[in-house]
Amino acid sequence: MNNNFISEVKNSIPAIADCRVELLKFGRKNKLSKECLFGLVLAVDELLMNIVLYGYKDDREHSIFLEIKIDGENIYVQIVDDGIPFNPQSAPSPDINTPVETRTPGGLGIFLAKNYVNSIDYVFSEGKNRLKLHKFVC
Amino acid sequence: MKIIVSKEPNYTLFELNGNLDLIASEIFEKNVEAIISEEAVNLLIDFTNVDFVNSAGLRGLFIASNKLKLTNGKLVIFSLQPQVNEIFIITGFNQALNVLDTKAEAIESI
Repeated sequence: MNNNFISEVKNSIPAIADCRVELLKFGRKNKLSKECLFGLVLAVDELLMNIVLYGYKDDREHSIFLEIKIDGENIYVQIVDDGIPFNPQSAPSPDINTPVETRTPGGLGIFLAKNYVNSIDYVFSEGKNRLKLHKFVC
Repeated sequence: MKIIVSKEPNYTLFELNGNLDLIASEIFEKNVEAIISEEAVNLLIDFTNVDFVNSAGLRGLFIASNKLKLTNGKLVIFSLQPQVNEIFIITGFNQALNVLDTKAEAIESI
């Protein structure tokens, strides 16, 4: 099952960096183009970072489950975490047309993630945030 | 992230190697603090070997640029890989920061 990537990522920033390295290896093994892999890695990285930085109100260790499947022309990503309910779809986007200097801070990572995938679906069920991303192989 | 720092008469050059993420951004900001305390003004950043930048990396660059402005300095970034350059364009950070193609243009601009 070479075209499946499954990882349990701990809620720490170094764990995200390690996951990025593994994801790059997986993408290269599956012959994703540099451009496509960059977008996939960035979107996953930003969403994981958002969970790690803002998703937990305690200091305990948590696990975030990441699963990626490449099926022909489609890449499917699932991210499941037990942090506070957060729907990235409802996060306000930064106003990209105004100068960075005058923007309200925040939302940049989610904005980037959305930009590099074709769709994001969110549900909160059984106490968990469940994100499903779809990206066409490009 | 590895940063090679070299000092020239009119500017300090940072050659960044690796990924500009949250961890790297903290290392980068410390290096910027160090050169500001040595009263260096202009900072040129070579992005040739930067393969990845995320939102935390962009914020780090923006904070550094603002700190340098306070001392009438300038932060200039050059030689971005295509995918990295795209992030700057998508987010509008190519307008907020000085982003140029070559080192020669970067030196010229300060």
